[in-house]
Amino acid sequence: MISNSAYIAMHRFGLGPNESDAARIGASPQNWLLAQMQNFNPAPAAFQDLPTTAYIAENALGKLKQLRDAKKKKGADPEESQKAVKAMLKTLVTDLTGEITTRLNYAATTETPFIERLVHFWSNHFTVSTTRKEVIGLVGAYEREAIRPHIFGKFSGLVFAVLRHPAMLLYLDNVRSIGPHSPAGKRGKKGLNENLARELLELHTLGVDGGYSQQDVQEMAKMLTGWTVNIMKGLQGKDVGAFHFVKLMHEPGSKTLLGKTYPESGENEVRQAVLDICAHPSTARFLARKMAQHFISDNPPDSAVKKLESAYKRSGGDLTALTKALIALPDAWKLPASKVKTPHELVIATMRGFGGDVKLKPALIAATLKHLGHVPFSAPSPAGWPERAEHWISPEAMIRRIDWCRLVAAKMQRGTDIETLMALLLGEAASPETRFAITRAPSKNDALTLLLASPEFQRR
Amino acid sequence: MTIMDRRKFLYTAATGLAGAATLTAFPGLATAALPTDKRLIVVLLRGGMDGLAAVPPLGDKDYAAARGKLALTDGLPLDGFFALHPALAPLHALYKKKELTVFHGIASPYRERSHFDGQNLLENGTDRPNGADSGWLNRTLASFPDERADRVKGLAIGQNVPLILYGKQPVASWAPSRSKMPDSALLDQLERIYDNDALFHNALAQGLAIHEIADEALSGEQKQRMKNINRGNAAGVLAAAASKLLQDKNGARIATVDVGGWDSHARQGTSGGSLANNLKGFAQGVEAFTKNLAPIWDKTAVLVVTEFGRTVHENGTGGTDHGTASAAFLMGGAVNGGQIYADWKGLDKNSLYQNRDLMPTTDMRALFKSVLRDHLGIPLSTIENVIFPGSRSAGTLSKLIRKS
Repeated sequence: MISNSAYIAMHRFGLGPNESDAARIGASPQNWLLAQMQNFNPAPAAFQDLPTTAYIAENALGKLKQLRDAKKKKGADPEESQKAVKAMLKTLVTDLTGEITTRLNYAATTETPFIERLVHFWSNHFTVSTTRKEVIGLVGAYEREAIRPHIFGKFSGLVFAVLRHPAMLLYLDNVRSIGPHSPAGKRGKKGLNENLARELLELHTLGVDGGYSQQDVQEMAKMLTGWTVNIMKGLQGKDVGAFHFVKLMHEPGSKTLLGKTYPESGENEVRQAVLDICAHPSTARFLARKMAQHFISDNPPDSAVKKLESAYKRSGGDLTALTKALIALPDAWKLPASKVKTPHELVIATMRGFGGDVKLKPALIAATLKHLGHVPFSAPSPAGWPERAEHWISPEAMIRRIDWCRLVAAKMQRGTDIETLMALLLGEAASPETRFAITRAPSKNDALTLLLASPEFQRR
Repeated sequence: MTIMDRRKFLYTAATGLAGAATLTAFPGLATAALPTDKRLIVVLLRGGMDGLAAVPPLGDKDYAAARGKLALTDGLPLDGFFALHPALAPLHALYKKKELTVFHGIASPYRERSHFDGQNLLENGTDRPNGADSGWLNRTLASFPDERADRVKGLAIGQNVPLILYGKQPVASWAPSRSKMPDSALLDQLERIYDNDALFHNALAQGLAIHEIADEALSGEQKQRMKNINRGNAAGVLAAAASKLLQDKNGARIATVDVGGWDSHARQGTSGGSLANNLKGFAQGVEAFTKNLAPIWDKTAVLVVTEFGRTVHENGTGGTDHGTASAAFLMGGAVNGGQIYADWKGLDKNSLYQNRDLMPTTDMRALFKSVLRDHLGIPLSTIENVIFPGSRSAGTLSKLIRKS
């Protein structure tokens, strides 16, 4: 029977208990989390066969560009070219499905579930969504290369890696943003696009009340001009599809952001600005609140937020320090569990509970995620998936959650000992009502459905 | 009364009426008449719809120059000055039937450029992004007189309840489901384990209630089509099913529909292209609604709004950035249509908001307030004190709703 603190460690900080977690967690759940940080592997073997950004850039984006160019050439067969483009896109979608399945299976079996939760958290913070077709091929590589290796470094390093990744530059339209006074701007009619600059300030760093103005957005956008991906006409080179700074597109002259003037320094301007933005008190406050909201409650106590805020400030924006401060928060170790697991978290937790196996085909699990409105890498907006319980628990969503529990129960009832599973998944945290309903259920199928549908399993 | 006693009681009460035994394990299905038979549907176009593309002011002397390559050269004529985008033919037909009124230069009180703040403010009904944690449609539901607290009067079409409809009043969300509902024995136990979890308990109760209504309302053929909802024609089937829910005599009076994808930062196109495709999909939804709501169309008003408009000028990438004022639509059999509401300031640089956006001249709250007052019959004092607090200065508009 797991203790309440083990329950919290495995559900709230982890991805739901499995037998391996329960065996390892020992007397100090906090140490279990810290040990995972110490043994952090930025490139797990499970992902080694997935395509890298460079590979996708060369073999997907590059080819796609060639195919689209070929379509426009004289004498091209439009139907044939269209078919080739469609086939290429289909390959990308197939690759994405593979990526999502691998990621889900890894989350369902990893011995470092806390690390995985943090990766998902930061990946959502810096959302790149396949709602923009251009990034379908890149989202997985983006998370593996721009997010995962940077979750324990300086926050500015994470921001910088994200900004340089083609997925983000494509998703938020920076690839075609051109300084109006740059050589490219003077020659053509193209100009500035503010999208990435705005979301960088609003969603990624300072927060919407962070004290920046429309003027600041524009200045940031100017600094970001020239930060592009090498798929534009006239830029074909060996590294097609990869990050590329194009000086000809960069807005010349000094820029003033949040009252500080940055002299013209080409590609380096963004680095300077990112360091300053990340050191801004608004960023500390914004990140602290977001993290507390994710790990403690939709309305976290101000005192908890303040502690995280000062850990961020004291360490100069160090994410290891911030994460350790989170583990040390007394508020993070209190019950009842008030956060609702997102559908993605619920599916992972269910899979983990059965040792990574729910005897359902990957296609059916994928269909479930779609049915529950939570397909990985497809957040509705750059703000990412919402945190609040009310978003995930509507009447229709509740019924669909229970559908998922019934589906799994039907598959897994054989060979499952309900009492043992209840002790592993809920332990001491099971309420008397839940315990009573499960033990008195008229069938094993119902008992298992109730266990998975219980608030103690649906929440964390 | 114990749980089992209550269950038996509800069983007996329900079987004679609707045969809806399973659903009565939870409150939610009402049998007494509702206080209004009017229907209000609010369609939220998320992402900032470009009002200058949807309703191009073709007669404005500065329009073509200001919009550059994004300027439309042709449209479906409204009043000789404004036109509708060519993809909006079904709306044009409504306009000609005097069942559509077009608003231009309209904006919520929001003057910044964050989608999320803009949407929060539009939906919470205040003048601040975090001004309320409930939506103005939920507060509207609360203002209906003589109401049972647990009645399902609000419906979100889609899996989630948007902020505009979210709050203390119970509301349902509905989207097609392919599985059978749990049996009553399991529901009993679910009720037991959700007894101390109000969010879960209420969500399940409302979910079951609305499915029961949908199940009774939909024809076999429609149910069959719903099973294939992912294979295309989603707008039509959704509209058909949702219309049935709205037609039920005990069903929802207020419904919301979310339509995303209006954030046209790049390559938005003109009469063709990505924005045109969005408008076309939206128009198909409107067409399906008008058709399927035919029996109650005279009692229906549909509001179509977006959180903000877009910049007048094309940005560097063939799209537009976040702007301020946009266009809005009010349609339905209850609407006194065939009108255009626009205090038009023009598109020359000096007439723009911050030299870049269409000038906001109508407060969107004036539109909302007028519809609540004239369509749903809610007293203005309730509207200005509870539903749109602090909105007196926004005023109201007259003659939006047909005298019935």
